[in-house]
Amino acid sequence: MTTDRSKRNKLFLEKKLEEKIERRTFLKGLATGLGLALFSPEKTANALSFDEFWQKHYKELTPEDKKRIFERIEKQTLERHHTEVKISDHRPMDGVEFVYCLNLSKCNGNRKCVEACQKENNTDRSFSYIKVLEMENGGFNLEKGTTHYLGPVPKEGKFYLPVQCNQCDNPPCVKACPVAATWKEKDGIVVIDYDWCIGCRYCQAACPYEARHFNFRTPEIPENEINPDQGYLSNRIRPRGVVEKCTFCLHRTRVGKLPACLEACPTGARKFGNILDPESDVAKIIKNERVFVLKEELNTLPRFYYFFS
Amino acid sequence: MILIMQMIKICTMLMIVLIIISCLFFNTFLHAQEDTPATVSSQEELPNEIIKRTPKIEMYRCDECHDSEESFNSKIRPMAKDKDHESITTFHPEKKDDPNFWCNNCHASKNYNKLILQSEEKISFNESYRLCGQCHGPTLKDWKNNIHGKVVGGWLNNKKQHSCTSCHNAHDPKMKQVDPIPEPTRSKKS
Ligand code: HEC
Ligand code: HEC
Ligand code: HEC
Ligand code: HEC
Repeated sequence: MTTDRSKRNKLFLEKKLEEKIERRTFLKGLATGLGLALFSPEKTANALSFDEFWQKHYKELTPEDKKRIFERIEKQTLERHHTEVKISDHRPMDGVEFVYCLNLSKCNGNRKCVEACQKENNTDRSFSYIKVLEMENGGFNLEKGTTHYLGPVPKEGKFYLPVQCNQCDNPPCVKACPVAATWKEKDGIVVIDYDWCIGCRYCQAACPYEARHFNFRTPEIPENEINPDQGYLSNRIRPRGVVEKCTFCLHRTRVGKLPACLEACPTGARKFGNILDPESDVAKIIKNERVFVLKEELNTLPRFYYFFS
Repeated sequence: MILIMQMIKICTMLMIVLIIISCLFFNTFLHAQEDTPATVSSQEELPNEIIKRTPKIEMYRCDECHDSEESFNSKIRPMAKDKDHESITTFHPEKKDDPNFWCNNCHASKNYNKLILQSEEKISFNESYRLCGQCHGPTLKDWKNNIHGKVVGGWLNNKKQHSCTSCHNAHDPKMKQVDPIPEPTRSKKS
C-alpha cells in the first residue's frame, strides 16, 4: 500500500515539477494509463462516488453544489460514524482579520488546549494541531524543546511554548501546494479543501512550524465525542490520505465565538480577536506588549504572536 | 408679519446657542468622569460582564451557619480540623503574625455574605476583584484590559470575564503545579 502510494506520489511530483497544471487536466490525461492507482486506497475502498470524483474546487462551487455536497457529507457521517452532524460554510466577515496572542508567562504546560482541540476538531486522538514544547528558560531554539514532558508542571527553569498553525500572511505551504488545495482567506485563515487535497504532503514539508498533519490512517474518533458542529473547511471528519491543520476554529470564530483552545486554557494565556479593530484585546496587546513571532527570519509573517507579561 | 418672522428667527438662534452650551457642559462633565483614578467603584462600567462567583462557592450562603449578629473571633488561629473551614490553612497575604490581618480584613463581620473593602464598603462575593485590586492595582488594570485573566463567550460579543477567584484561591492565591493532560501519541490505542 505504501509503495503504491509513494510510487503514485513520485510520479505525480515529477510531473508537477515540470509545470503547474490543473489537477483536473492532469487526472484526465493519466486516468486511462494509471487507472485506479491514482486514487488513495481509502478513497477506492469507500468507492468514491461519481459525484465526489468530479466535485469541483471549493472556490468554484455554486450554492447548489455546496448544498448537495454538504448533504452528502452529512449522510456519509451518519452512515460511518452514526452521528448526526451539520456541515457549515461560514465565510470571512468584512473588516475582520484574525490574530492570536499567547502570553508565555502564564502558560504552564497543562495541555488542556491540546485536548480541547482534538475534541473540537474531530482529530484522530493520536495527535493534535497544538504541540506544547517544554523549553529551557532563556533559550528560544524550537529544536531543543520537547513535547514529551511529564508532570507536574510548570517545572523550575522551564517555560512552555504551544505551537500551532501560524496562519502566515505569506504562507509557504500555500505556495508549495501543486493543486491549490490550500489557500489563504480574507480574514487571514489558511484553509484546506480536503476533497481537493491529493495528499502529496508538499505543504507539510514546506511548513517551518510543523503545523500540518498527514492522516496516514482513517481518523479514529470516539463516537460519543464527535463534534457535530462541523465546518466544510475546518473540522469536518477528514478522510485518510489528506493533510490537515489548525484553522483558528473558523466554524466558531467566523460566528463571533472564540477558538476552543482559548476557552479551555485555565491560565488565561491565550488571546484572540480582530486586529483591524483597534479596541480589540489583541490590537491592544500588539500595541502595548513586546510581541514576537516564531522564525521571523523566514518572512512567513505569522498571525500568531507571543509575548511575556 | 415680518415681526413674527423675526421673532421666530431669534428664537431658533437662541435655541441653537443653548444647545451648543449645554453640549459643552455635558462634555466637560463626561471628561471629568473619565479622569477619575483607577480604583473600581461599583458604578464604574467594566468592559465585560463578570462571571458570578456566588453559584460556585459551595459554602455560600454563609448565613446558613453564621447569623448576622455574629462578629469575628479575631484571635488568629488555625481553623479547627473538624470544623467547616479546615481547608483554609494559609491566609493571604501571608501575614500570619500580623495581628491586624485576619479574616475580617476581607470578610465583613456581622455580614458574612459580604466582603469588605478598606473603605469599609461592603461588597458582594461577585465583586471580589475590587477587593484584590486594592493591593494589586497593576494586575487589576491588566485584568480589565484582558491581558491578565480570561474572557470567554466570544471575541465579538457575548464576552464574559472570569473574576480573580475563578483562577486564584483567595486564601492561597499562588498557582500550584498541576498534572498535565498526557501527550497524545501514536502508540496509544484509542
Ligand atoms: C456549614 C456551616 C458554615 C458555613 C456554610 C460557613 N461557615 Fe464559616 N465557620 C463555620 C464554623 C463552624 C466556624 C468556626 C471555625 C473555627 O473556629 O475553627 C466558622 C468560622 C468562620 C470564620 C472565622 C470567624 C472568626 O471569628 O475568626 C470566617 C471568617 C468564616 N467562617 C467565614 C465564612 C464565610 C465567608 C462563609 C460563606 C462563604 C462561611 N463562613 C460559611 C461554619 C460555617
Ligand atoms: C485576602 C482576603 C481574604 C482573607 C484574608 C480571607 N478571605 Fe475568605 N474569601 C475571600 C474571597 C475573595 C472569597 C471568595 C472566593 C471565591 O470567589 O471563590 C473568600 C471565600 C471564603 C469562603 C468560602 C469559600 C471557601 O473557600 O470555602 C470561606 C469559608 C472563607 N472565605 C473563610 C475565610 C476565613 C475563615 C478566613 C480567615 C481564616 C478568610 N476567609 C480570610 C477573601 C479572603
Ligand atoms: C491587603 C492586600 C492584599 C489583598 C486584599 C490581596 N492581596 Fe494578593 N498579595 C498581597 C501581598 C502583600 C502579596 C505578596 C507579594 C509578594 O510576595 O511579592 C500578594 C501576593 C499575591 C499573589 C502572588 C502569589 C505568589 O507568590 O505568586 C497572587 C496571585 C495574589 N496575591 C492574588 C490575590 C487575589 C486573587 C486577591 C483577591 C482575592 C488578593 N491577592 C488580595 C496583598 C494582597
Ligand atoms: C484565567 C485565570 C486568572 C485570572 C482570572 C486571574 N489570574 Fe492572576 N494569575 C493567573 C496565572 C496563570 C498567573 C501566573 C502564575 C504564577 O505566576 O504563579 C497569575 C499571577 C498572578 C499574580 C502574581 C504576579 C503576576 O502578575 O504574575 C497576581 C498578583 C495575580 N495573578 C492577581 C490576580 C488578580 C488581582 C486577578 C483579578 C483582578 C487575577 N489575578 C485574575 C491566572 C489568573
